[in-house]
Amino acid sequence: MNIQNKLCTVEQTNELIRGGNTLIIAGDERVLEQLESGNWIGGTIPYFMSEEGGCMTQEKVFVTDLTDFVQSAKIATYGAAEIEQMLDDRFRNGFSYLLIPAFSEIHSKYALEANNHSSLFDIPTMGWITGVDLEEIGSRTPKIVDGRSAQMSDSIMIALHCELAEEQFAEIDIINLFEQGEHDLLEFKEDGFSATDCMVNGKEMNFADYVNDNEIDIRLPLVADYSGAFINTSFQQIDTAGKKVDFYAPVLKNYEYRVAKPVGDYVKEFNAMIPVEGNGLICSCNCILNYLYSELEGKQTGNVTGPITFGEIAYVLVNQTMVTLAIN
Amino acid sequence: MIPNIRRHEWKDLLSGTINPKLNSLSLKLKLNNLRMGVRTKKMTVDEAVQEIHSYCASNTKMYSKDLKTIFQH
Repeated sequence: MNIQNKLCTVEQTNELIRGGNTLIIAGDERVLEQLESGNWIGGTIPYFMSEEGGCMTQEKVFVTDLTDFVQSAKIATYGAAEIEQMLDDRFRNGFSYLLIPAFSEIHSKYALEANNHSSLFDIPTMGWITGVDLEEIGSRTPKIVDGRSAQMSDSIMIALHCELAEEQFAEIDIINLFEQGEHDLLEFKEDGFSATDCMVNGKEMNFADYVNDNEIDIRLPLVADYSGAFINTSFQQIDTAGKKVDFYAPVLKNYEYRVAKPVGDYVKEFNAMIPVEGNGLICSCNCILNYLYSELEGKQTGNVTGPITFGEIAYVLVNQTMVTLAIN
Repeated sequence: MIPNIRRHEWKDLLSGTINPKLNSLSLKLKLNNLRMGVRTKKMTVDEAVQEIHSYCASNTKMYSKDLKTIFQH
């Protein structure tokens, strides 16, 4: 079985598209624009973990070819008020792959609301938040591509709902090197992508002041324990004057957070955790913050390749995490 | 075949009385969602037990290892 899960030229990709293959394509907007319409979904991002190591390219796209793995697939787009519809559209025996533009309303809504739908966890749902060249933030918007028409949008979510044969099942997992550290227990009064006040070991204080006064390394995420699954919320920035902290995923009330323990050698520790060969691994994505903070350009994360993204979806939105999909 | 819904371990799992080390991400997240639902009184413990039992029964292959862990705990 030949899984295409690598960087391809426009010509190579168009050949796959013309062949009617079921594809997920990641790439810079200017490259995605050159692709023909077909049975694919796409998301903008120019950073990748390739077979040669981490890289940034605005000439190739990363192609995940699911043709040989799925019994059928359907593409659908959803606005911010249609998350529940997306959940209902999933195949009972299958998985769904989502692409959501960063900084969009649906990005926020998915992050804040998806976890409230108990049915979210009934069917494997993974994906990522699309992005742009870091130097183009503010001048170019992250987008998704509906491959059926080759139309782009920066405001809707696109899903590839895939059906599997009855005897198969999909499994999503995360590789998260970050564990809760020994720091203070942090709790937030409200859900949100930013926080002003926070309870620190039960005592209320301004969170920006807490981070600054304690010289917290904001390259380390906050980590919450979801019944044994460690889920990260990454710092975006500290607004010291405005006494506010912004995050790349929401902090949620009713959860207990701690700043993560530092990771030593990311590549070494990551390689110790990656799945072994032959476990049905199909595809993955990893976080741009891991790429930057751990200096992954030119370095390999085992034999696991995929786009480097502005947020990852492993049912819920996660940060600084690798998400993997296996079919067993 | 999964353990009978009346086994006390289901309630123990949802109340946090037992915290076995589970393997499956989806089961951890589902369990967390249900524990939060009970904690915030969006559902009763019995409703949560019903849901997690059905959840595990829907894919016994995927959850067999975790079920052994829970019921040996």
